[in-house]
Amino acid sequence: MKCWKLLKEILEWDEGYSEILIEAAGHITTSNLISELRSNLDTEKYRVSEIVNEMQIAADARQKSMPFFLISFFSLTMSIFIIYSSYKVISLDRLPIIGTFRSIGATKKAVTRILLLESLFYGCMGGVIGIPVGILVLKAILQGMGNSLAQGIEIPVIISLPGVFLSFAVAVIVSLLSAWLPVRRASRLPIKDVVLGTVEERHIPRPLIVGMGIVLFAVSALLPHFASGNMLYLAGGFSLLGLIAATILVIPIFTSIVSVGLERFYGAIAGNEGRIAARNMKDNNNTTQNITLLFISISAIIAISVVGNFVTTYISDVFHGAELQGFADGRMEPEFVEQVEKMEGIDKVLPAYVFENTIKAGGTTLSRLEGTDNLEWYSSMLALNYTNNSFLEQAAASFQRKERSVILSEGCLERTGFSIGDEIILSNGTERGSYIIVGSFKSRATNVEAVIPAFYAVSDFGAAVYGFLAYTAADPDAIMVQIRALFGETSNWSRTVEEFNSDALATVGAFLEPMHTMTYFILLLATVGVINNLLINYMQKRRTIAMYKSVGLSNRQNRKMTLIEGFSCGLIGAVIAIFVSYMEIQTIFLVAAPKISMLPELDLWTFFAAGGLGIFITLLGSIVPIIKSRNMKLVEEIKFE
Amino acid sequence: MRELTEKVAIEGKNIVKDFQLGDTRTRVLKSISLKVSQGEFVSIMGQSGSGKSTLLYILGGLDTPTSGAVFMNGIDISKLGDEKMSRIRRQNIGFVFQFYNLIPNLNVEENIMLPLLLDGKKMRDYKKSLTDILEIVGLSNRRKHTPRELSGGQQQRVAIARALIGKPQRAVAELLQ
Repeated sequence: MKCWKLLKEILEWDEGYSEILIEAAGHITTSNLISELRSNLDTEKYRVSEIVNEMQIAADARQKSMPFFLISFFSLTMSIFIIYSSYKVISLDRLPIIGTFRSIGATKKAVTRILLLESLFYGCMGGVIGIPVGILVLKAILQGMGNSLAQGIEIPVIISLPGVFLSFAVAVIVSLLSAWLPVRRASRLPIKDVVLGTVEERHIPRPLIVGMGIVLFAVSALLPHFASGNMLYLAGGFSLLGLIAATILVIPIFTSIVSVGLERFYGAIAGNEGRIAARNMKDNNNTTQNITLLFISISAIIAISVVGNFVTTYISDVFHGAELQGFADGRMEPEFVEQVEKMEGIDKVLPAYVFENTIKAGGTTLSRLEGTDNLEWYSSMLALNYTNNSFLEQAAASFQRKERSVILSEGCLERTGFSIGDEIILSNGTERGSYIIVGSFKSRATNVEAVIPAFYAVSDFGAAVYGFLAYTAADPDAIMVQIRALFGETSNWSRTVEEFNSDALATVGAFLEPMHTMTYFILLLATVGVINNLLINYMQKRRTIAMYKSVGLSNRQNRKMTLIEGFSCGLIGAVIAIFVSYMEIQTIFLVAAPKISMLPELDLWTFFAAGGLGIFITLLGSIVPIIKSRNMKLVEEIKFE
Repeated sequence: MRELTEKVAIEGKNIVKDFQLGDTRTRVLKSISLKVSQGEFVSIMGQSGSGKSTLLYILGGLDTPTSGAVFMNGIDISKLGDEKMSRIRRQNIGFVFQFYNLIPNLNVEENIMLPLLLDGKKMRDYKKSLTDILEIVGLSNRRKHTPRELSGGQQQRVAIARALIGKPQRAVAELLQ
């Protein structure tokens, strides 16, 4: 009672307020408060609406978090592969020690346990050091982000204890899982082979591997097309993992086939060094490992860049594909609209009656219902994407014939449980009318839930003034100036599309800045991983290089061969990455399609730039091995170890 | 008996070789001098650890002495830069290593041809020489096999063939069995 009295007093003040913010008491829901206010206030004079739609915020947040999820997925994949390939080398290098352990009585289990404990230690150290460093970096990024926001918003860093434990657990599990295979294989080798140094790489028949790879690739590519609903997410996840795994299986044979071609090509342009460099790549595990890591890194960068750019566009450019160039949201008499139509340079004007949270469909309140007399213009101005292509034609014809029809947004259909063809009752509490659902749509340019013919907005619900207006014009800015002048003191929200987009980009861009920063982290991880791999490869190859040098390979020739090999690895990795990342992007957007009404625009430059970067990183990583080879002590390397 | 000439194939003068291991300096070769004439067959024998391999590596151009000189055709090869030394290894010396040192990724004929390939020669120009040498070492039917697919003795024969394919003036062999 007290509150109502206070509110009445405020509303009766001569020099009143243009906006009053009301907080619901603890036990009252926002929607109940809104209903109560609407029923007690003159809705002609006062507009009651929710300030913050928490469900919408949650849905928007899910969109923004998608690139970050992708970044985590690809970082984990790269980390697993880097640790696995490092552990493969570590285990091989440790074979003499393993041989000694086994020859003096250590069991296979004991050896496995010792090596796995070591990897557990590495995982723990990684977690203990990485988590505080990560938190500091995150705080720095978010502080920078907060400073750049015009509103001076502080973005709190929320790090929960369960989150910390989860990160630590992931560090340990990734380390253990990645090391498990090579460690297990090394500790199960026959003692005799280990001690005598006659360990051979296990040979798995190539046709079997290639066959498995091709089948897995096909299944991964096709599966998301056959899944729906919640299964689509599972299918999408399996598809991404499957594409990567299948490519890893197929890389060796692909490299061997390409190297045969490269042998001839390099032989013609780079002489025997080129031919030998290409020849060295055939059936070479080191080369395969390099190419695999490069492919994982480059495809991660491409996928994250494309998705990140898409999310930025999707969130900030809500009018993408919409014909309108400006809009006004406010109370507009028919004369107001007539004046706009007469403005110089105006092209199309689309007014609409608006009912916010006043019309119920069945028992459900529609957040926004609009009435228009030209559904075709309405659909193009606001980029309505109809669920079925035939809906627009059917609905437009029905609207033209002034039939009692309604189109609902897909979200509204889901919420209310209605179907196309259903007859529903729309009611504002006093008046009611029955309507047939003739179509459904989704749109990013408007949050309208239902659209009916303007005729019935007037006859059924007494609409007298318009609430929304969209226009196209030769000079949208000039029209907007005039529209704002026409409004005068009347409360309104009017923007050209360009103004709206730059406002949105300024806000959204700041929030998505961490995502772009993370892309650089992925690049750094990729660079470090590739260089680390190349150094490991050099360590494994140095005896072979020494053998070449012992029969007359000069430093200049070695440099030429190393660079050709590095360039070739980079090129093959880039080509594979471009192809596979394209498949990954198809999968990602296939899974996201039900929730979004826009497809990404694929920029060739992104693909080629990432590929070029991969080649550059590989060439960069070749520098240290070249320098180390120059200073190599031949005799020490070629002596049997 | 092979005809010896006055022409010197390899000459070592006061070759000293020290090895540094941490703070310890070990003198393995103490001022060795020798001359090998063209056509001469020389066998260096000694106890294990006496420095035979070290001397061979120096005479074969794979290592440089701490002091002293190694002459081939009147040139002190121990002072040569990498490019020139590598050319000498390709063209003038055939080295057979104790453990063969075959390139694992290359097959038999590629391993044999390697010094010539590194010298810019084309495989097709040496088809006959390659076929002849494969026949001599008895590996004609193994030419496309990689070292992994050969026995120890076969690998050794590939190493010998590689050392001789270019018809070098000098051949150096380490612990042939």
